[in-house]
Amino acid sequence: MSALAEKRTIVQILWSALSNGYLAGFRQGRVYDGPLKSFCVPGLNCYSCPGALGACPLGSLQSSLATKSGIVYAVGWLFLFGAALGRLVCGWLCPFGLVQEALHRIPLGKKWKKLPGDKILVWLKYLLLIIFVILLPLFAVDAFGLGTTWFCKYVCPQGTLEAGIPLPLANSALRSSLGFLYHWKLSILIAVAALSVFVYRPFCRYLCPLGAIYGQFNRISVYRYRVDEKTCIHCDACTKACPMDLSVYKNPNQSLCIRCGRCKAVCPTGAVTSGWTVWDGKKGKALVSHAHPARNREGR
Amino acid sequence: MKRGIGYGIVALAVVMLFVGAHLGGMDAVWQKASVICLECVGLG
Repeated sequence: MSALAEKRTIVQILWSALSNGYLAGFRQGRVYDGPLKSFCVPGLNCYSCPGALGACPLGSLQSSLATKSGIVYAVGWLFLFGAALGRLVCGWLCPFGLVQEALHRIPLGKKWKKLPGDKILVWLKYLLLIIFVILLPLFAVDAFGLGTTWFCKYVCPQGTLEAGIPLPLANSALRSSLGFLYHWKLSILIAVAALSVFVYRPFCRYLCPLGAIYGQFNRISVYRYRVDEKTCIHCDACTKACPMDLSVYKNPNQSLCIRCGRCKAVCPTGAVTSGWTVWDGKKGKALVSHAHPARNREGR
Repeated sequence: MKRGIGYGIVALAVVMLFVGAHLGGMDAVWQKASVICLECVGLG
């Protein structure tokens, strides 16, 4: 594992622990409802996880659309994280991404970057975003005009993992209420977990509506990747190393890129860089910071 | 130009969060789930 990969794993673990640090919730079978819950965390992190200190941005979006209340606030969080970081959130700050990567490290069977039919399957997350996250919560309403969080209720495996498993374990009242819906969601979680052993981050690639949203920000986000055309030798090392199977030198800010940094680590000429763009008002162009790891090693 | 858009949306997001917080913030967003979001658990 490269130094950058190690650093990323440490950040993922620390962030997941920090954002789910309300340990009393796990013991008592209840969720934290203190002041920090007024903020969204950047990644997919269930609101009802007993340890969750913040709210899930995707759940918040659905809930705001379902109740027709707080929409500006929920969308504001998505804009903030998306425009600042893009899918850097997926690669570094999403607990469910960490879980999938851990499962993928299990030395079992052949490892795949993508499934057959990938070109069609990658559109599934946009379908889920439009139908389950936006349209159904907004328009499938009860007599009081209230909708429900369809993606959370019928699909989200992270909700099952973080809330559906620990809460009923510690809360007997919830345990006695488990029915078909619970087992349906548990089946989805098991399927995604099993697939993750063989395919790199299948949920992120094919199903995650939050990744679909952040992916659209990749091209314009303040944190971004850059390929220096003058030093790039088109050796394809970045493409071979990319776990999402992307041609980095053709487009370093594609919507599927989770910004894990493997392309930077393997680039022999240091052509791939990433960092915060600094708006240079006088010259009217942006600069990208962050030195390339290879350059650091060579002392250039 | 693209970089400018990124900064613009970040600024817009900050304004939206201030306005949204003034309009009730997360309490308004999660009014059905002040304790536990049962849909999230799989019990909805």
